[in-house]
Formats: sequence, C-alpha cells, structure tokens
Amino acid sequence: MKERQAEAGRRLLSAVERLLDDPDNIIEVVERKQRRLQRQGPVERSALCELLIEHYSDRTGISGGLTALPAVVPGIGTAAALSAGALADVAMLLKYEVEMALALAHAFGRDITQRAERARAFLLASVKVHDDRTAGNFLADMAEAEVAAVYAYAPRQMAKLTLIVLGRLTLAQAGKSFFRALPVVGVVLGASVNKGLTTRVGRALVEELQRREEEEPPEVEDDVVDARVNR
Amino acid sequence: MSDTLESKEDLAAAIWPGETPTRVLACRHCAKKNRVAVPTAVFWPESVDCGSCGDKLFLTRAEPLTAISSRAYEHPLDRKSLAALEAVPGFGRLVRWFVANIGERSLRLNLLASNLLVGPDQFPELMELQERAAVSLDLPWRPELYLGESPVLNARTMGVEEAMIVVNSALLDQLSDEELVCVLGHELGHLHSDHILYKTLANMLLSGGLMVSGVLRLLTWPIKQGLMHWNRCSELTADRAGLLATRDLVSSLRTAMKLAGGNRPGTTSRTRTKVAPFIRQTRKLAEMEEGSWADGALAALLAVNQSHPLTAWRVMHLLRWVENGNYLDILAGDYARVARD
Repeated sequence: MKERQAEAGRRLLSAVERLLDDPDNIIEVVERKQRRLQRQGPVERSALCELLIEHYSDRTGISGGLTALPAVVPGIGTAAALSAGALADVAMLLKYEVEMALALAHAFGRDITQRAERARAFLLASVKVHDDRTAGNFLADMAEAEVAAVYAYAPRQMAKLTLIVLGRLTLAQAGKSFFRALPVVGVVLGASVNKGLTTRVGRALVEELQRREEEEPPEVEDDVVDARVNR
Repeated sequence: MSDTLESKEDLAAAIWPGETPTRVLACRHCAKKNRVAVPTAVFWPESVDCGSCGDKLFLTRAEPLTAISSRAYEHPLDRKSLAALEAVPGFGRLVRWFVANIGERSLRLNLLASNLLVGPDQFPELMELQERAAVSLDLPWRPELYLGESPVLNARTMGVEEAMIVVNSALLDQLSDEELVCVLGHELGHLHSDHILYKTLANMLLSGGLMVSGVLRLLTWPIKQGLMHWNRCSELTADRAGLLATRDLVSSLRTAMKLAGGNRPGTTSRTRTKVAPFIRQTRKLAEMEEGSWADGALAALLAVNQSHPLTAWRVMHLLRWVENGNYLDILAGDYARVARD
C-alpha cells in the first residue's frame, strides 16, 4: 500500500511540476491585479488576495469542467472521465492551487523565487487540497509534524512530505470522482466543485500566511544603505 | 537624444507617473545592499555610487557584460514556449535537418544574389555598429552582415550552420547610430539565445517558402501556430538584448516608437515625435487589455499571424523588466554567466 501510495505521489508531483508556471509569470499576475486595484484607489492586501483567489478559482473551475467533458459520450467517454480525466483534474487543480499559494505568498512579501518558498507553497497547497477532499487533517495525522514546524523545514524534507500527501490524495481521489461520469451534470459539478474548493483553499492559505507573518515576519532590510547619487 | 525635445526628467515622469519605485541592489565591490531610485538608476547610472564603499554601483557603458549567459535576460514566455515546442517528439531534429540542408542554402544564395554583403571594405561603418553591440554583450561571434534594399523597418537573423544578419536599408534612413546598435544587439540576442533554428523555420513559413496544402496544412496548423507564438515571445528576449547592448532605455523606446509610426521625411519635416506620449499610449493599451477580457482577447487575436508582437506590447514588457525584472541587477554586475575555457 505504501509503495503504491509513494508511486502515485511521484507521478502526480512530476505532472504538476511540469505544468507549473514560472515564478516571473506568477509575479506578473499579482502585479496585474495590483494595477487593476490601483486604478480604483489605494490597494488593500485583503482585496488583492480575494482577486487572486477569484483568478485561480476561475481557472480550476474551467479545468474541472473540461476534464469531465469526455463523459458526455457514454461508454468510452465515461471511462476516460473516470480514469485519465480524474488524474488530469487533480494535476490541473494542484497546478493552479500551488500557483495561487505562490501568488498569495508574493502578495504577503515573500520571495517566491527562492526554492524553499516554492517547496513550502507546494506542500501547503497539497495539504489543503488533501484535507478538503478527504475531510481529514494531514498534519494532525502526522504525529511528527505540526504547522509551525513545516516553516522551518528544508526544501528536501518538504518535498518528501509533499510526496506523501500527493500519494494519499491520488488514491483518495480515485474513489471520489464518480459524479464526473454523469453526462453534462459531471461538467457542471466538476467546475463548481473545483471553484468552491479553490476558494476555500485560498482563504485557508491567506489565514496561514497571516499567522506566519505574525510568527515569522519577512526579512527586514536593516542592512540596506541608500546609494549615493552625484548629479 | 539628439533628435528629441524631451529631457530625461520628462521621460522618467512619463514612465513612472506615480510614486518613484526603488530597488535594492548588491554592490559588486563590497556586496553591501544599496537602495536606489529606479529612474535614477535607469537614466543616470553613472552618477550612482555605493552608499558603503563609494565605488560605482553600475557598470559603465564601455564595460562589456563579461560572459553573460542568455538565461540572464531570457523572457519567461520565450523559455516556456520553446520548451513546449521542443516537447514535440523528433521536431527539433527534423527542423535542424530541414533548415540546414534545404532552407539555409537557398537563403544564403538568395542573400548573396540580391543583397549587399557588408565587410571591412564595404560599409565598414555598419560593421562597426555590429562590433559595438557584440562587444557590449561580450559575444564571441560576428555573423555575416547584409544590407537589403527595403522600405520596411526590419532586420532579421538566419542560419544554423553560419549565422547571417540582414539589415533593411529603411533602418539606416530612419534610425540613429545608437538605435541601430540597439537593433543589432536585438539580432545578436536571437543568436545568443539559440533562437535561430526555429526562427529560420518561422521565417520560411511566413514567406511562403514551405508550401503545404490540403490535409497536411490542417495537420501542421497547430505546430505552425505554436511556432509563431514562440517566435513572437522570442522577440521579447531579443528586445532585452537590444537594451543591454546600448544600456540606453531612450534608444530602445525611440526604436520601438519608430517601428510603430516610422520616422520618414514627411513626419520629420513637420514635427519631432516624442517618446513620453508614446509611453502613455502603451499604458492606455495595457489598461484596456487588463481591464477588459474582451479587449485582451482581441489584442491576442490581432497578433496571431504576425512575426513580431504588437509594438506597444513589446514596450510594456520591456518597461516592466526594467522596473521589476533583473535589468538593473545585470547593470550592477549581478547576472548568470557562462563557463568559458
């Protein structure tokens, strides 16, 4: 069982890593939303976070609907929606949620070009999706890990934890996607379930980032000097 | 700036109309982090000294960007689109064989037959401008340079086995020397970033050199669109190389402005075009694209069959890189380098 779980986790991790957008593009998304808010007045971080959550939940909604689309054709389509479609759905869902975690982290002043920050976003997004989909509590299940401890982990350790949570998620997902096989209804459900899940995950991530900000504020640039200008 | 009425202060105000952005850059001499206003760093880099050791924070324009790797300035859209193209199994090998054995020979013959080969004894002044761009980017190659008679403001780079740059004569009519260095730096950037293989194929597709019809045309349509999309994205990387070759944002912006509206005698005899209103124009486009999904989609559709991205879009991307990307880090000597023997 453990081996099956590890293998499933590795496959999903590799799929999501290939799909993941470049940090520069994610920063660009945040800045675009920031500029949109700036045109209406002073930018509040909470409004920016809501806009980012909406941006990514729209995308997971679309991907949820599209990956359930084959079920419109009964027979082969039903089988495709249940097998390849379900895996593609989780992979796309995670891609957008990890990107959302990175975008939100950037909005909170974290440096998402750092490997450790990316590993942390990956792990937290995976844990939140896992907990929502399985109604479980991954971190509570793992006796040795607590939320605060996760922040101190090195990227390698976080990658290991991510593999475990993704393995569990893939296996749990297989038994929970029968609604996707319903023609037409599956598309609507796939889209709305994903959008709702991403919104919940996004808000949970914002709470997590707020808690982290209190416990571990971003580095203060106290060793920065003003450059001299001779003009 | 000789043919403009604008001061650098006017331009800085047009580019950064609100709060002046700042950046923190490490000093290459003492490693101390320095906070510097972006407009000062961009327009008056020679006036900025490290607040700790007092040495110059930025490289001078005469200093080459020693051993700079193309990854240092590669646009993420270019990197991503190229990776998607290379993921098509066997595509790269097929293209290389085709371009080297069929396309490149005919291109070289065509160039020798109907363009002017520039060399030490033929238009050495143009060679000198290419030399300036290559030295600034610290590139070891000097591609064959051709001058082509054309009223279109354009230059292009070709050749997998042996690189060739063609400069259209309209560029000489309408651009200053500094702007030509920017264009030649742009072309050398394509070479540096290994764009040439796929660009040669894209040029052949655009010029109708590859005649495919019927079912084959339908089957190759997605690949053609993928290739054309990457081709446009690769221009963003090359624009960065052009700016790094001159390290003069005004020249880059003026070049873009002239690409949009030209700089022909009919215009120059009546007025002197200005960059600041052009910047405001590009900002208006950005606001339209970002503010409305429909406008964004329309703008994307406008570019679908173009070899180059929309000019205003290129300007927006370049300005965002200057303000938020690693342009200033590169000028401060902090960039990815290639290993050399």
